[in-house]
Amino acid sequence: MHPTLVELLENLKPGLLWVQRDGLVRFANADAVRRTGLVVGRRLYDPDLVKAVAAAVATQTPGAVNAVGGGGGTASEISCRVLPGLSRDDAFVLLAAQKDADTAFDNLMQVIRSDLREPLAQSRQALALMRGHAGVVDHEVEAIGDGLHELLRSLDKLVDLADLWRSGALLANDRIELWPLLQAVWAEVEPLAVQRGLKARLRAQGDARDLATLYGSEHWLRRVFLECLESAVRSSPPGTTLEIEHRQLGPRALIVFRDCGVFAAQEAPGAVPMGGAAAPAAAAAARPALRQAASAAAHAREQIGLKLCQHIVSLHGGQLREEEEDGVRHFLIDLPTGAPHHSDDAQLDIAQAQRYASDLAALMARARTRKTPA
Amino acid sequence: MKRVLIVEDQADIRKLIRMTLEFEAYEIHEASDGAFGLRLAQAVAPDLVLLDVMMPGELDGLQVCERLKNDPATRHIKVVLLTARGQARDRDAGNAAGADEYLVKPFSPLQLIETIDRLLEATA
Repeated sequence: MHPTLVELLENLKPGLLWVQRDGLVRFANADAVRRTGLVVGRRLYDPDLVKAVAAAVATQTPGAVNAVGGGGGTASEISCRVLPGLSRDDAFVLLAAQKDADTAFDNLMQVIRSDLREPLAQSRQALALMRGHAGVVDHEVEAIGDGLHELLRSLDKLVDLADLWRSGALLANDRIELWPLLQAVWAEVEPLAVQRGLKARLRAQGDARDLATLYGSEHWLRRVFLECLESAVRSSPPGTTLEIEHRQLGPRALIVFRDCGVFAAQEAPGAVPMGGAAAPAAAAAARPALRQAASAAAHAREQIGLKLCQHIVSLHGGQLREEEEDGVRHFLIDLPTGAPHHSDDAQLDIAQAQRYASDLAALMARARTRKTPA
Repeated sequence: MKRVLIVEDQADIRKLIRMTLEFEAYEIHEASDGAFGLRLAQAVAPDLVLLDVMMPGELDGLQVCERLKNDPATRHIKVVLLTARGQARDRDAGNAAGADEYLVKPFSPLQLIETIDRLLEATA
C-alpha cells in the first residue's frame, strides 16, 4: 500500500479494518488493532461481523453491526459500519469512536507508562537499602519490607501492562521454540519451587523435535511462562508435583497446567509467601493488618499478571482458557504456531514486485539467449 | 525438464516467483504452507525447493528444510531459503538446517534464476 495512504489510514480517529470477503484482515490501523486484537493476516472472529462483511461484499451495500472487540484480552461491544470495498471482493469496517471512558483509560495507561517507572526504580533501591542494613531483626520491619516488595512487584506488572496497551508494541518476529523456552523459564523458577517444597513434571507430547515453532516476541512469551509458573508455584501446597504438558494439535500449540491453580483466587493454605525474606514464624508474628496488606498486594499482582498474560497471548493470536475435567481445573495457554502475517508484508509485496519489474528486461533477454543459442 | 517446488504462504510472492521461473523451462509445483510443501516434495520429488522461512502452520521453512535433508529419500533435493530475515543468526540457522542457499527478500528474480541454475548444474 502507498506509504501516504497508510499514514492517512493510521491517523483515522475511528478504527479501520480492511478485510477480504472471507474475513481475512488485509489492513488494520492502530486503533482497530488495539480494540479488536486483530492484525494483518488474522481472521475476523465475531460471527455477526463475518456475516455483515459477506453481506456487504455480496450486495455491495453498506451495513451496520455490533461486534465483540477483544483487544487486551477483554471483551467489549463495538459499533461497526461495514462498507463495500474498492474491489468487489473486500470490505471496510469502520469502528465507531470510543466513548470518553475508554479515552480516559488510555490516558491513564499513558500516565502509568511515563510517570511510574522512575519512582518504582527508586522505591526498589530504598527497599534494598532498608533490607541491607545489618542487624535488623525486627520482624515487623521485615514484614513491612515483604509487603512493600509485593506492592512494587504489582506496580511493575502494571507498568508492563501499560507498555503493551498499544498493541503495536509487539512487533518482534523472533523464532520461538516453545518447549525449550518453557524449560528455560522453569529453570529460573525452580529454586523458588524447591524452597516451597514443590516439584514439576514437564512433558512434551510426542517427539520434542516435531513440535512446531512460532514467530513473535520471545521476551513477552517468556514473561507469560514466568507469570504462569510463578502463579502455579504460589498456588500449590507444599509437597505437590506440578504437571505441565506441551501438546501439539495441528497448527496450535497448547501448554497445559494440570490442576496447578494458575491464577486461582487465593494462595494455597500453608504455602510460604513468595519472595519471603521473612521466615514463616516472623510473618506470622507480624500484625494481622500487615499480613492482610501483603496478601492484598499479592492478589492485585496476580490479577494484573493474568491481564498481562491475556494481552500478550491475544497479541500472538492465542488465548488463555480454563478447562475442567472430572472436576479438576486445568489452565491452558493456546497459541497458533508458525508465523502470522505482519503489517509490513504489503510493503514487501510492493518491493518484490519492483525488483521483478527492474529485472524483467534482463530475464527476457536471458530467455531469448537460451532459446537461440549462437 | 527440471522440477521446482515453490513453498510460500503469500500468494502474491508465489505468483511473482512462478512468473520468474516461467522464463526458464521448469516444471513448477506450488504449496502454500510447510506441511503441505513437505508432503508435496515427498510425492513429486522436485530437483529444487524454493522455501519461505516464516510461514503459518505446523512447520516453518527451517523445519521443512531439516526434514528434507534428514530423509535419505529427499536429501538430494536442493533447498533455497527465501526470507525477509537477513541477520547473520538467521543465515546460521538456515545453514544448520541444511539449506543450500539463502536469499533475502526482496530478492532479485535474476539472482534467483542464476542461483537455481548454479545449484541444478552442480547436480547434473
